[in-house]
Amino acid sequence: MRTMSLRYNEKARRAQERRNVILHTLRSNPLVAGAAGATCIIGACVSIANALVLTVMLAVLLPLIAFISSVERERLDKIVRPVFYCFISALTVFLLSLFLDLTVAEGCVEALGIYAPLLAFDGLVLARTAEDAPLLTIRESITESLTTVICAAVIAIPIGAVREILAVGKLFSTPVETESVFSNPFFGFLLCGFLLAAFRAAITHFTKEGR
Amino acid sequence: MTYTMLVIFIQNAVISGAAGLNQAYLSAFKPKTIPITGLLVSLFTILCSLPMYPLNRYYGAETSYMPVHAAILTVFIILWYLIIAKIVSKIPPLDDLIGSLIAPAALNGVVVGIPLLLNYNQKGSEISELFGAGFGAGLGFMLAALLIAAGLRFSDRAGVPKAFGGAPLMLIYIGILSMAFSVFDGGSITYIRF
Repeated sequence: MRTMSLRYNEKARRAQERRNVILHTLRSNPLVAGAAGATCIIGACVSIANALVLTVMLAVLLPLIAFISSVERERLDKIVRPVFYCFISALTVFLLSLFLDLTVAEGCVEALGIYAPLLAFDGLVLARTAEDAPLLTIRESITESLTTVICAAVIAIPIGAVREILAVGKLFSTPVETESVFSNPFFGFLLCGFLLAAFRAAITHFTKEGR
Repeated sequence: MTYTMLVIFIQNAVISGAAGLNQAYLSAFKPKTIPITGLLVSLFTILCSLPMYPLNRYYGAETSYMPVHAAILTVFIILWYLIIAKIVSKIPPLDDLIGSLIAPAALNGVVVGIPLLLNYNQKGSEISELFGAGFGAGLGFMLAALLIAAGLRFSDRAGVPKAFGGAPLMLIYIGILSMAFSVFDGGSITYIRF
């Protein structure tokens, strides 16, 4: 009886910790707080297909980097540490690019242009490895990274969809119209700014109500 | 000089292409470090572009596939960063001055983006082009970070809604700057297309 009660308390405690990590990440992840990751969203998400490819790449990269950083726990030399993570992320992006281009849809990563390789050096991917980032357990880091992926998807996919509809008039068009003013980065900046503000307002509103 | 001016104003990597945006934003919070970071960005862009020169010139067809080109570039960025970081760490006064700025400058979207853009647009087959674009990359980064720093001074005003504070307002501000920069060429000059 006592063992069952201890197990239940342990499960409840872990669920509460997970909830805290998710809430904290929704409110203050690097994308919402510091526009980390906005480079690839603004530059590459000119269509919904590009946004989906970007989301898939983030879904692989972020948990991987989070897992490695929570295992490594700042044991590497501070000069070597940044390039170690850049190497891991660049290798992952390279292999993922080949895999997606060759097996899923030819040219889907090439359509992202220079922004696919830029993902390996992006602040959103390398946020967990910053010197002032708190040390988390493996479970907490993975939860945080998956929540960040969801936040990025919520921002990136509507941006890609809106820009493609305004530029071409339909979704999943090929080839993507890049001469349109809506495919220009300045429109991406404006859209991303407004969407981030809306996201932040929604999170603040719903998390206050939940309390 | 032409390539430098093109990369600073007409096709600024940060404002016109969003490359290195996060680093420019973070640098804007420490305005005194912007000039040194900009010079380091120029240095790393030139150093990383130079080994790509023979590839662009003689093996352009074989290495033009973006992931392959990016993989080769990444190796050079890591090597140059390790060399320069190790040298600087051995000189204490230099380490105090620029030690903490080397990683943000080397592992920067601008350093990665400019050589990739030159390859993507089939440019970069002249040494003068590499030097000009590399030098302009750092100055363009400096210009972008200074403009963002100027905008940040107004972002704490009372009239700004809470949801727009910080990153959202900064993105809208840069979007307006980007719109202004995009009319510099009048649609007739496209040196490098993002």
